[in-house]
Amino acid sequence: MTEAFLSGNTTAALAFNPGLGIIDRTCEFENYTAGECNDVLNVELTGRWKNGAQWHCVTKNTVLWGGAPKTEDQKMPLFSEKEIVDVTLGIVAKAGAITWNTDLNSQGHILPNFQHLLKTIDGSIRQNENISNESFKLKENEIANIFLQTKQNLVIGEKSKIEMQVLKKDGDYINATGMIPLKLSNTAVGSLDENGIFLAKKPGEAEVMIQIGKKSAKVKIQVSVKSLVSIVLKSSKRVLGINESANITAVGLMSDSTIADLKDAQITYTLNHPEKASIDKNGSVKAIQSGRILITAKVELNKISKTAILPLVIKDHESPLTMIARRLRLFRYKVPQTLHSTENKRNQYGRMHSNTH
Amino acid sequence: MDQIDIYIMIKAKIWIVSTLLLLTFFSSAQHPAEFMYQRKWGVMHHFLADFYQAENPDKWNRLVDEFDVKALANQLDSVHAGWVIFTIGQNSGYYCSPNSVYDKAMNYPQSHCSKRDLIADLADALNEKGIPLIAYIPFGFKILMHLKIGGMPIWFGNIRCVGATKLKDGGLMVITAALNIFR
Repeated sequence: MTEAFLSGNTTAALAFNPGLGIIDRTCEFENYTAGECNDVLNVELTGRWKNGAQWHCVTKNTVLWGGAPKTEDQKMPLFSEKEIVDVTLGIVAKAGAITWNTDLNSQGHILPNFQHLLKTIDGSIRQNENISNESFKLKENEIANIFLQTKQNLVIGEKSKIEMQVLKKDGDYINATGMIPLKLSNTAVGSLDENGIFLAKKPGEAEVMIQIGKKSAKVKIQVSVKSLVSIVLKSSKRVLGINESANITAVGLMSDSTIADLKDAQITYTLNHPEKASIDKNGSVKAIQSGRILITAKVELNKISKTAILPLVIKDHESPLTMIARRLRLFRYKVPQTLHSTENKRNQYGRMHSNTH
Repeated sequence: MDQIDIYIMIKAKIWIVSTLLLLTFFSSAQHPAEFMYQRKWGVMHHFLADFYQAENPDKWNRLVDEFDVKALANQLDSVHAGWVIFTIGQNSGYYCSPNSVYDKAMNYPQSHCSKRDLIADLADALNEKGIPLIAYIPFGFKILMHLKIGGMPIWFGNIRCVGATKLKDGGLMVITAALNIFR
């Protein structure tokens, strides 16, 4: 079918329209998205390309897609002039394209109110273009530096957008994210789409690079398997009386900063003073004698094991003041801040400055 | 053919973009939709028989004949529209371009295709202004009913906006392929 359509003009673009509300590429033969859309205020686009096709939507400012309105509601515009301009500029700013459906009279003339609207769109685009062109016309000789920024530690299956900032010699920054094609050093480790989004595929290291004239920048991305990085222990009670029980639970953190699912994990609880308390395999601890005890949990998940220690106090009796203070939660046991170490945070996001030749 | 197929057919719409003019602007190595990126925004018009109460061959022909392509091209040029999407027809069975294959298939007493090739005239008028034309055609319900569901060819030939030459005689293949895509 595509061949038939293009037989008269092999360079023509083609799109198949899957219907209202779908702005996506429906088959490999499409060059742009048909993008029929009623809810243009809420469209989402991340960049120029949608699965390899130019992002495009077609929408309208009336209830109907044309023809004479029959009710008062149908005569009302859907959006204000400002909304239309904002939507258009918003889409264009992200390298998308938009078509506005416009009514014609029976002689094929655009009605005055629509013509005015189109003029407004044109004016806003031109004004915006002047600003953009001014920025991008600078290109090589006006660029002082280029910066690439992204999340540098990813796990398999994770995506991260490569943000690009261009520093002009006059000190202004231009956000060029998704505007200029990037290069990837190792395509086995991940892939990079047209919008500059990196997808982690295999463990390893890859570099994303950009070069504009003599200016260049790169950023390293480390891909790893999602793994357990740390655990902490929580107790239902901080102070136990003799013969009292408390439940200990382990909470794990994965390498992608998500909470670990420990359903399949092997958890082993031990304590340093078995004469003072007992603990079963489910983490239920029972106080026997007064004193301080340390509960240790070893969690093994996908062949990676982590341990954590939790101190508990056992008292044979409490003074009234201590009891009131405890009830009022004046003393709180603080969980050691091992989950988000400074080092870990520092490594999550990194910025690689450009090399200036 | 069941209801689902009919529904799918209703939704199956085909858009064709003319890039005749773009050949002078962009090299053939560029993405076919590069003009959308460069030109940013465009305009669409639904010029349909049922929208203008012209679901009658005589009325439809009069309406199409009165269409002022040059005035529209001037209006669009004055607002620097990046492209134009224009309906060849939609759902009513009336088209603004002559097509003998369609006429033969439908066997109406009087053709539902206009005598004037409005698409070609509009393409020429827009061509003078350097505005690309996108021809729009859906496979609508009424068309299918007329065709008695499948088997009859729809011919897209002689649409000059998608090229200067005729398209291949693959009407039946068009419908079948559309079904395959949207199933």
